[in-house]
Amino acid sequence: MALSAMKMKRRSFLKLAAAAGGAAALGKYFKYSGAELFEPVAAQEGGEKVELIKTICIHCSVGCGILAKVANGQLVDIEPWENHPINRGRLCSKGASIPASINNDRRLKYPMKKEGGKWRKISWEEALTEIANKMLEIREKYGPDAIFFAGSAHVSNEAAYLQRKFMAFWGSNNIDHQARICHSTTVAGLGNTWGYGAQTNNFNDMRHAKSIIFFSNPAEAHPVSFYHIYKAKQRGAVLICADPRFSRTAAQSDLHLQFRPGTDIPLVWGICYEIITNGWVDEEFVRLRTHGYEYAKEVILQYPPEVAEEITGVPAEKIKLAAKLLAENRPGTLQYAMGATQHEVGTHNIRAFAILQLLLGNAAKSGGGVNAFRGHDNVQGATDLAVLSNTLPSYYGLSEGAWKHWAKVWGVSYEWLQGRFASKDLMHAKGATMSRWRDLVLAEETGDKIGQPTPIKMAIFWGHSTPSQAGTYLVKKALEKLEMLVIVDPYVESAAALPERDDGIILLPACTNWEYPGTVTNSSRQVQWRNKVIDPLYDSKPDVEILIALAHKLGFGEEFTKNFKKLPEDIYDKEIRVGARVIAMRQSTWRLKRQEEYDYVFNVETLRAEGGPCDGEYWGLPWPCWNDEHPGTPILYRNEIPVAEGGHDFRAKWGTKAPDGKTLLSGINGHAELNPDGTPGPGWKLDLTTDYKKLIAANKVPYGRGRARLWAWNLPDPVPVHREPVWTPRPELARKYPTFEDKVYGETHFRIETKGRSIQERDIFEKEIHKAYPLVFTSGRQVEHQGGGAMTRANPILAELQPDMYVEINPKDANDRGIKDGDVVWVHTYRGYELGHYRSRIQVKAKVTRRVPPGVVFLPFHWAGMFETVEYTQRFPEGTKPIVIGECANTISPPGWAPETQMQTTKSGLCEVTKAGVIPEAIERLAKA
Amino acid sequence: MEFPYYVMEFPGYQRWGWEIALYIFLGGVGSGALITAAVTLLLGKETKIARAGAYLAPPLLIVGSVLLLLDLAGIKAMLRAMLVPLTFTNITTSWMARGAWILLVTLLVAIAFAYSLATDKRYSRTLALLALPLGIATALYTGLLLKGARFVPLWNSGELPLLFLTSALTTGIAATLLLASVKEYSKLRGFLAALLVLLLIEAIEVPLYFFIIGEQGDIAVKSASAILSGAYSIAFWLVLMFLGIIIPILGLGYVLITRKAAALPAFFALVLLGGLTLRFLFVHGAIKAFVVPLI
Amino acid sequence: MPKKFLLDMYVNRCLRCGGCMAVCKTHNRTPEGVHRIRVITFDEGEPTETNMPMPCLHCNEPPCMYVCPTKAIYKRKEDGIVLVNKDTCIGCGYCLMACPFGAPQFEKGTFGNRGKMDKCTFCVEPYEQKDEQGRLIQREPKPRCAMVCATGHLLAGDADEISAKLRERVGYRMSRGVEKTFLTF
Repeated sequence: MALSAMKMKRRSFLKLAAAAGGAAALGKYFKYSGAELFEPVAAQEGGEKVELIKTICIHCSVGCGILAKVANGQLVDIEPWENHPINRGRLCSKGASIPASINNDRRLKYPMKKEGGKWRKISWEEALTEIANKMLEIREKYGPDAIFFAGSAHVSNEAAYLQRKFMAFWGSNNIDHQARICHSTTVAGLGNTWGYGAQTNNFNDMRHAKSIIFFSNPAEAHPVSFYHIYKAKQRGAVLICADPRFSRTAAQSDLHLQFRPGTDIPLVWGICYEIITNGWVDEEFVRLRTHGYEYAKEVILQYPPEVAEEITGVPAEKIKLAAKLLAENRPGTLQYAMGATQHEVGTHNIRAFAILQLLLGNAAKSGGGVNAFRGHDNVQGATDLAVLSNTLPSYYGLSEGAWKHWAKVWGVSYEWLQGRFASKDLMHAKGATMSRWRDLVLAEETGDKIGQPTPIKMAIFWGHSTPSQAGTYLVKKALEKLEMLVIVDPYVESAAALPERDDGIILLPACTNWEYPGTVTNSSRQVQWRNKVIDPLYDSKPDVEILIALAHKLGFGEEFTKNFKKLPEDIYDKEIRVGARVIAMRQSTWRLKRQEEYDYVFNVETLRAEGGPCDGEYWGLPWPCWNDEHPGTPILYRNEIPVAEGGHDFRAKWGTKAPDGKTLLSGINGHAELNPDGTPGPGWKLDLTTDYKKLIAANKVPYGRGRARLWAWNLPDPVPVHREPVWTPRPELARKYPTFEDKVYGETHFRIETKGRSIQERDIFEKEIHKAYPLVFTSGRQVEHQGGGAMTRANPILAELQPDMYVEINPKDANDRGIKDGDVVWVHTYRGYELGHYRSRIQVKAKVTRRVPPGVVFLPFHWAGMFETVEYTQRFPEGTKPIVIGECANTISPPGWAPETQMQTTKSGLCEVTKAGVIPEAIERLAKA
Repeated sequence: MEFPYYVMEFPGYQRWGWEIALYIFLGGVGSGALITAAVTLLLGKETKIARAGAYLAPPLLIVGSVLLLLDLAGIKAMLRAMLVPLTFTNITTSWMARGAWILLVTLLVAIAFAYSLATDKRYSRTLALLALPLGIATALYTGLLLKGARFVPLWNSGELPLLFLTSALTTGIAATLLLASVKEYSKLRGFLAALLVLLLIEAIEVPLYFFIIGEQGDIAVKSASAILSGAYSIAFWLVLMFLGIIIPILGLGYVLITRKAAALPAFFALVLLGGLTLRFLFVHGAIKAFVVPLI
Repeated sequence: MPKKFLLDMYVNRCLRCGGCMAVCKTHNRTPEGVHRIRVITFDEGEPTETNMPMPCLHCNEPPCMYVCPTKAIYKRKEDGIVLVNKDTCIGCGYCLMACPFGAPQFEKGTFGNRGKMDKCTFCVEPYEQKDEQGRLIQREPKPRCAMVCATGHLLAGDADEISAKLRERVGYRMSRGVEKTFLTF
């Protein structure tokens, strides 16, 4: 790639900036008018071209549009994209500082290899050959399942799709990505309730809500969404915030429900109890469009607000007030994110939320719905395209039919694919997950049973961070044990430096998302075209190209790229669009590009185009988008509008009759799933040629018109019930509301032995660790950083705005421990016991604040660079270490995994805070025992 | 201000450093010495003391000005700042610009005065007549400079220039007498009496200032209480009030009664220490207010 | 009409997302430690928690201008924007002491002291005011901080326009949501 671009100096940079600035005003001040600013302007001197390129932010899932200002092929500045329908030019600190992330000399500049303890620059050819040879050697020795591929939610849809396809062609399901530890329980929870596991409405639609209940902290995690939330507030909406922490969102809300971490379900049931007993249930909606109300009611009535108060700590009065506000201000929307998903009971938390909305009749309408705010910029797309170990793209699962469907899309035979796998069983078995892959590496040490022939011997980290994985001690040991570790990232991710090993690490520089075009799906299913802004800097390459090159090295390149002529558009148009029928992700790239061109015709209230070439289309063509005439479905399950206008209904996914004999088809025009010709059958998702015109003309939904299930008989808890976190500070409640039994997880769960109740028995009842670790641990985000922070912590602007990793602790707890604001403290926990390491601890700064209630501490999780009080930045390649470093909060996160999706628990653990260097006696004693 | 507002402590601002505090002290001592010399000469008394004051003023003012320059942005800014008439153009509203002019003129007059006293004494009286008001102006201006910064409430009082003038006079007399090292009590009596009176005024004025400044609002109360009873209380009560004012008052009273001048240099040094502490307290103890407009 | 900033303390309150600070640094290229706008938080973690982005408010009678000894700070006639001429600024820091809002910013300069003053220019000038040929760079008075403000808390523009906008916003909230506001208190 252009090495000249690499040598960009600050001086020439300033010159370009000056030219760009001067060009706009041509040396003499004149009155501003909107039009001039956004036209590409020619520079004053030397005919330098200054262009404004429409592109999408690379950080969170709101999907904000940004105009990148490019002069002479270099990114010099950004401008607000004021016509973008989602953000109207608004940005948070991460989006506003992207140029400093891209033009950054801390980036990984060329492939590197660690040899004899030293980092050495190598060529792309050498790097790819070495990786391919090692992969083939491992395949020979241990089989294809000995490799774990950590994909990414920070790549385009095309790259994410290719990552899944790559592992399918390699012959293993050991591929996973951030969504596992982010919103996998959303997919399971919402999917099991009404069909699709995605945000039902969109950011703009929150304007129409009359009440909004937050179960997360969008003010810090998704600040731009507040553009729309404040619009609702202006119009008189009530904001309620349910959060263990008095977060910035809570500070903006009218009512704050401060509950103990891990007790979402009793809180929601307390609200639902009030709704049911006061007759605020939307009877008609429940009767016509849901199934299983009586079962849900039976459970909910066990949780009156007083019981909820006992469990959650929220005063019953406040719960009653919340219920009243929600009932009187309809439609209301419910918002949540990781605070609700990252629990053993994550799936059930989400189901409880959905049931609350169904009872209120808020589901399936504008201003209502369940708004699951996702994390990374393309985590929705990467989930849809299944960088996941339990399904093929578009939620087909891993059944034989699913493989046959995708084999047909890929133009290979099912038999050939099966030949790539170690066995037919492993082909249909769920693979290793992001939350437990390290246990599959360390199976011999820990003695856990595994569900594949050998432990994992090699890992590829393709844009996945280490700080987000719970139990850093185990991750570190696993990274040290691997035979080879490959890391593909624009920056040097901390996985390269965390393990104390002298060789066997290869780093490949991927370019950032502004250096290669592609589509990106934001949280509200809107697919946007992200333009390339500049050529890849230094010697970095786009993800798509690296994957294809690696496929060629491994010998399946021909089959892998069979359908692709024009990259990256063909990946979308020739494969994703053809195969991804369950979610009807059938937007064509040309439509997305056209929308981007005519951004100004979209109404910001409805997101619908008014006139112009895109007339009637919704912004981003949110899936399900059935064909090239379909406008997309911005709000899921609206059955009062025709299918051709974006209407449909809850999915008829579980047949036509429930086990109790009642119908599962909607009370309004209900029908089962259909073949393209209109006969009942699953043909709608298996036919590769149909564009559903016939069904849509008849106002039939291809996947049927079903009912939402309040009673999900296939889950461990058909109706959510409260279960105390594995590590609970309230053992007496754990006896009454125990966590999941071990047998729920089966012999192996996602190929690894998983336990629930027995951990609780051992740690809480036998060892009573809550006495040595009395504080509840919870984690979350800082607005200035994103994910593992490899990019944001190396960004000088963001590093200046937020240089600190800290632990938030209530003044009461701090005073009890003699800790003052700003002190360096240790946070201890019992983690690491799997390998006989009983004392994980981290060293952070204390932030004494009333944001957290007494008994709870909060830590942001973006940080890396220190492990168990020791800094390891010397192991980064020279000049690549991030500007600011800190301890990783997940070093001290608790055990506990969701039985549906293997979601890790990071939001409700136990810990103890002391001054640095102090180890309390109780902890010492526990470690020795 | 017309709109409703809320005043809070300004988080993390760049304070003025030791250079400014030391400059204000040296400028005060210099101008005080100049005034002492001019008055002494005009009243036709001890030329030795007048000469000591006149010789002391220019170097102190020069060192002070250099410190002032050191606080500026860089070499270029310093060179430009030396061209006072070209640079400090905003004499209509800025006390710093006025001060720069006053300082320049005072310095020139002080040099001429010292030169005339050293060589032929023809113009001495004329120069003394010039030097007297200029010395007072310099001493007052250091206070007015701080007062001009309206949003440091500790400084925002009309008493401040007077306080600084008093302190300039006491330290100026003390420094002059220290340098003159006159041993005969009879020659010193008038000066000692003046110094005693001024110190008594200062002894009342200084604590009073910190009590009345509370009118300027919460931030002023906060900074005053930091000085009176907080982080700076030892510097204030022990160093400034006790060592710098009370002990010299007692000492001078003792000397005036017993007429034994042997311990005088120690008392003069203590007065200087007190003056220095006062300036440092005012510069470092100041808290800048941050006005939150509640519009 | 003079150009002004206005802060909405009623409906769209600041979240401290830092967009204004970051876009200012990106767009104006201010060095480390110089924030032409920065967010102040008080009562953090309390129910009264308030965040306030504080740019230069371009006062009608700027105290900084009055105290500047060298007339480096001036108020533009045509639109009331307060600017600093870095050629004549000597970095004395007097403006910092005089400004009620802490708008003047100083980079680290010689001898560990402050450098020349830099302040919000309503985006008409970047940090390096001059281009390679020594000409003053001038841009439209369109502050990026207000354009990117995620919540619309920070308003910028002609004084009458932005005050009308805020008045409308507050009125809307008061007339539509007043009963609900009472419900929660």
